Amino acid sequence: MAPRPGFAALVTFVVPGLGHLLIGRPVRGVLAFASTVGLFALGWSLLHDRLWHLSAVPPTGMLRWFPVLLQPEFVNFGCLETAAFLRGADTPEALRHVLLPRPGEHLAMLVSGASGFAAALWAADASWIASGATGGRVAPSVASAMTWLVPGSGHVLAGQRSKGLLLGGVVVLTFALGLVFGGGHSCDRPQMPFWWAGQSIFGGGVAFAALVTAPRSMVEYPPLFDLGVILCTIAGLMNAMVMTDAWSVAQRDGVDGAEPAEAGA
Amino acid sequence: MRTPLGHLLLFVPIAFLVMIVYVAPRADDARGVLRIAAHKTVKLVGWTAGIVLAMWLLQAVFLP
Repeated sequence: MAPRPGFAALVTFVVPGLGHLLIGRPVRGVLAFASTVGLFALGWSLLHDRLWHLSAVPPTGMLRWFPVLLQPEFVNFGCLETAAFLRGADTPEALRHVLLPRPGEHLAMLVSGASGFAAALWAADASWIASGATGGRVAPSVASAMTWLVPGSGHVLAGQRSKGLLLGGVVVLTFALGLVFGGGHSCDRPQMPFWWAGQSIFGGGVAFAALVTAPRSMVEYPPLFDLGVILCTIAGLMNAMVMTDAWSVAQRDGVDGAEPAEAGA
Repeated sequence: MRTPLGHLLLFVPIAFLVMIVYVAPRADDARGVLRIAAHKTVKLVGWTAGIVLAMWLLQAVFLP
């Protein structure tokens, strides 16, 4: 018997790909496992225990075993809990090393964070397949994943070209304004992990920041730095709405087979 | 940017950008999204101006 959509999503959060295996989609299951675990393992191998200190609150007590504030990695529940139990003891010597910046850490943080988004999208994909929905021109999970990287691209793939270009432009412009006001340092995970959790919903933007702006050292404090941080976070939250809408557009196309209003024009 | 006019110059365009994303599910093309977003932004700015005016009046009446 095929699992219910909610159950398929739930098991995918615990073991990436298991939901797809239960539904009878082994190839997707293997892809889900490889991408989610692979991204997390790559990020963790570069960051080691420094990963735990990217949380908004020091990971002590209950948070050591249940790091709910380490976002977006916590969404990748199975991987993060496994890593939490494999973690070494917090000796003063170990703490001194994990609190020091590591070479290439901005990219590693992006990769480990991306595993959280991969887990969420694969879980939603398992739920969508288990609901018995058929695909339209693009799977909703693909539309959302593309939107995470390039805002608006999911709409373009689903047939709403002008709307996709408009929404993409709006998100990118807001993020770019944030970077300009913040002197290029408004998207910096080690400095502002709480804000970065919101900013990371625009994957393409945080990738640009991780590769180009964040590794540069701050020469002087920009006068409108706070505004820059807020604008970058707003851009991330905007992209959450754009991803949700891209999912809806792709799903509507697949369920009722209707041409998107713009595609026929 | 730190004067009242500066705040307004920043608030209106950012509110419009946020509104574009907020109303996006209600239309299927860019023209429709922009039309609804413009209407909503005017409404939001009007309400905001009204609230700011009311606060100034309260301040003028009750605070020496």
